[in-house]
Amino acid sequence: MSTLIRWLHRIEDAVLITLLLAMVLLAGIDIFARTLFGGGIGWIPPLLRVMVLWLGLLGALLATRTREHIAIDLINRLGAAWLQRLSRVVTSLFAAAVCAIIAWHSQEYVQLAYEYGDQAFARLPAWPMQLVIPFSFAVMALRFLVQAGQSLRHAEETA
Amino acid sequence: MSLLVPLLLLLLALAGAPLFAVIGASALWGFYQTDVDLMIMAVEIYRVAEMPVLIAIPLFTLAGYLLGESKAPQRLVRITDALLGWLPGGLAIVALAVCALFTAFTGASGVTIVALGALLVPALQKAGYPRQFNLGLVTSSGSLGLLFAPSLPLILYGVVAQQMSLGTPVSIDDLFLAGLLPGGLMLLALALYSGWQSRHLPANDAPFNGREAWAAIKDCGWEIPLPIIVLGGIYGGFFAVSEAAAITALYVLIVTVVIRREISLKHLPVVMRDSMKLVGAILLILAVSLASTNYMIDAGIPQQVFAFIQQHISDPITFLLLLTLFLLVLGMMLDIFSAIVIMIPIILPIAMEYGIHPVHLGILFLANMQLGYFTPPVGMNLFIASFRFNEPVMTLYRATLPFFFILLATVLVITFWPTLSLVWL
Amino acid sequence: ATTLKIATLAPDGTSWMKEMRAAAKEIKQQTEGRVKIKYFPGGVQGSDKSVLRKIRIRQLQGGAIAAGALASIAKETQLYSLPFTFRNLEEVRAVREEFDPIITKALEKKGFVLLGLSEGGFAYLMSDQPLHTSDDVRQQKVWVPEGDIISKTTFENGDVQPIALPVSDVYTSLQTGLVDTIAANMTSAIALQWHTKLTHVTDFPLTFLMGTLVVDAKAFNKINADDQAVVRSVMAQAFANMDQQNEQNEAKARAALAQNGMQFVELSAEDKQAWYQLAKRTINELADQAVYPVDEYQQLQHLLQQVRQQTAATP
Ligand code: NA
Ligand code: NA
Repeated sequence: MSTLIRWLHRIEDAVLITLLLAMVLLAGIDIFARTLFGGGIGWIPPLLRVMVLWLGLLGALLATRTREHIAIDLINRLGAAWLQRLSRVVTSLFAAAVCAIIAWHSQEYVQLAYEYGDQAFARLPAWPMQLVIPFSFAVMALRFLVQAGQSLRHAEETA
Repeated sequence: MSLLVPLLLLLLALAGAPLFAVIGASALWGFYQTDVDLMIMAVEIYRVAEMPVLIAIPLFTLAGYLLGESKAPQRLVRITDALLGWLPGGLAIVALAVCALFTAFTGASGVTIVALGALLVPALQKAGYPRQFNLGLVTSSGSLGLLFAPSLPLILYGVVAQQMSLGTPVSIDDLFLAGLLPGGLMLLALALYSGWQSRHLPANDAPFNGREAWAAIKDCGWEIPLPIIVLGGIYGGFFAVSEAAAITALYVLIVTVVIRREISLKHLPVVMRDSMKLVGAILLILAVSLASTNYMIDAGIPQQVFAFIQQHISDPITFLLLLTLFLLVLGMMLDIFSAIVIMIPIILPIAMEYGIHPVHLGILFLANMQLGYFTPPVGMNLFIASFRFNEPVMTLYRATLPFFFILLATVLVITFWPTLSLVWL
Repeated sequence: ATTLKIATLAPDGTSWMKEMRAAAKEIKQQTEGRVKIKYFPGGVQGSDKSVLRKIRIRQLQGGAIAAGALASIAKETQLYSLPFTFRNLEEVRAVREEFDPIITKALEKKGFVLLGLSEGGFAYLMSDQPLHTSDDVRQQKVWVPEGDIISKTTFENGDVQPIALPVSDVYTSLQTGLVDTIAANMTSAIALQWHTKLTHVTDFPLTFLMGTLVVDAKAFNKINADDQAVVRSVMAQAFANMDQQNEQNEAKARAALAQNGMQFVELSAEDKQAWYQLAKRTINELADQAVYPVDEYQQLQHLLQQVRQQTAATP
């Protein structure tokens, strides 16, 4: 089980890093094409913008894995130990619920976009690009749920 | 009932819930109440893929992380020391200049303190500055440079302001110009204080050394073009922000990995992954806040808040004073990115009703936030410095206090003297 | 009561938005408050595409959007947008009576009520050089609006590789020299400050720009029939006013540009003929890609021939 998870994490990292490298290279190529040959490469700028969305959401997924989301850390700095554990369980559950709701409604939306043939750029359909939204929020929901469970177990062990 | 949910969300935020979840929940709740289909969340999040300037965020962040992991900080200290070190208070001024430049590139994510603190604090110590002063200087300089291009908060402010329908356009180039003098003022004020502090120190035994300066310049051969490309390119009108970001990222990647080989191919993926964590955290907050902003515009909330405030405050001076107070508290509690996406959609339309220029608001907002980074008791950089230098937080409270009041004075000047920000526009 | 929430990229405070707000007030009065219209100007709801998405999920009921953004919904909306179709505004107005209803019907089939079509004037080539032929243009860096397949194909047929950018990036790009040639109407060139970076206008209308006001049919049909008629007629009147207003604004903008030292480049008959040839190739190529309705466009061309013969006959 833990080997499987390690491999999943490695794949996740690899996708993220490849995406970032591709973004740096494509953005560079586009600028060189524009300065050297006048015309740019039409599909690069809109693709870069979609890549920003993908990178952002996959990066957020990673930040969830290592609990590095931006938060006000008042209780964790000032509160008592039991309060810290309690707040960790509650806030993880809350974040899981929010992510799950967003994931659910996003997949509904992607289906709708598929049905009416929403276009992204260069007459490509938008739904494959939008799929990253329900995917990332669903996985984040799962991660927050697991973290809530871990915090709960940890709290019981130390109690 | 109408207050219960916001209070609950506030409590969750204080309890350490990820802020994106709090913002997302408030948007979900608002839309649910007004019978808007919650699919709206996906539509709003997808708008991240429709804003060209956002390309700059991952690219500049990657460049900043790569620079931070390379030996560029050491070289930066060496060259500034060689060029400025002979001035009275020279080394402290070196520290200030280096921190400002570094923060502009790395977006005040605490990287400055971590990457430069280890170099600057011992160097200052050796020159005879009191430890208290050194700690205060480095901690408060960890956010210096926020107002200079290409700082991410300036870009993010521009992005958020452009989402509002304003009579006055807010371009990111204008913001970069507007930040120059206010940022310079902060730098100058701290430099003067440092000079004054160093009056008791033994006479500077290192006068300007032409040979060392030349050696340091040669040593920095690959880094020197960077500020020229980025600052010269943006301020000179040769590049759009996203183009400058693309060139910077590609250039830094090639220099640090291929030419200087200071980041090994094995270490590169780790640096890239870490930089994307920050990007993910920022963009996720931005994405959900597009939805919450949309809800607020849909429900006309800024107008309601304005109507309420207008009953009590009639003149812009009082408004700005209260705003400064509010922003200090906010900046202490919230990180700069969340503060921008949560507060600007509400504050900006109100400030404009009081006749405040949106570009000026951006500068004074960020200047306040910069102060918030080390406002006791919970400013983030106080904790980062406490961790980095292995000192109790109380020591840092005391060490940063003089710096706090000096910068507070400059913030007031920036707030009440709009010309300083708007003179170039 | 029904509230129609309508979004647009047009900034608040423009004469266009003032006309729209006056129409909303009129509708509210005539329907005794049963139909209200709430506007979201200045792009606060995002791009035209984003507005269409929000109409699909019913957060918004309508949008005032460029005809080009409706291309993927109904290709009939592109009838007036093909290059060098019209030579002057009179020609456009001569065909609208016959062809506006075709656009309306096509959109209706896709679930949209078209409450208005507004004339946005002609787009002209503007540059920092005098441009006569497509050879001249080939030396330039030409901006086309992102996703505008018609403009893109037009330039590509002249062996020009255009640079696609969103409207928001054009000013900076002109400033940095990333682009030095654009196609725009006179009013936008001034309103967006593009004219400050340009010196020459090729005085030959390239394409005709159209704006639309579309409303979700499901939302519209919830309004009772009498009130629907009120909305339609008030909006129709508002759009007629706006067309007049717009014609005047274009003329004023043209005068202002001339006064600012902008040079208007006249084309020889030969040069014009070369552009028409290029347009023909483009239009054929776009037909293969099914970008516009071919039969209807041929009818439109036919009608234009008749109009031209009549004008030539009556001195
Ligand atoms: Na906008
Ligand atoms: Na926040």
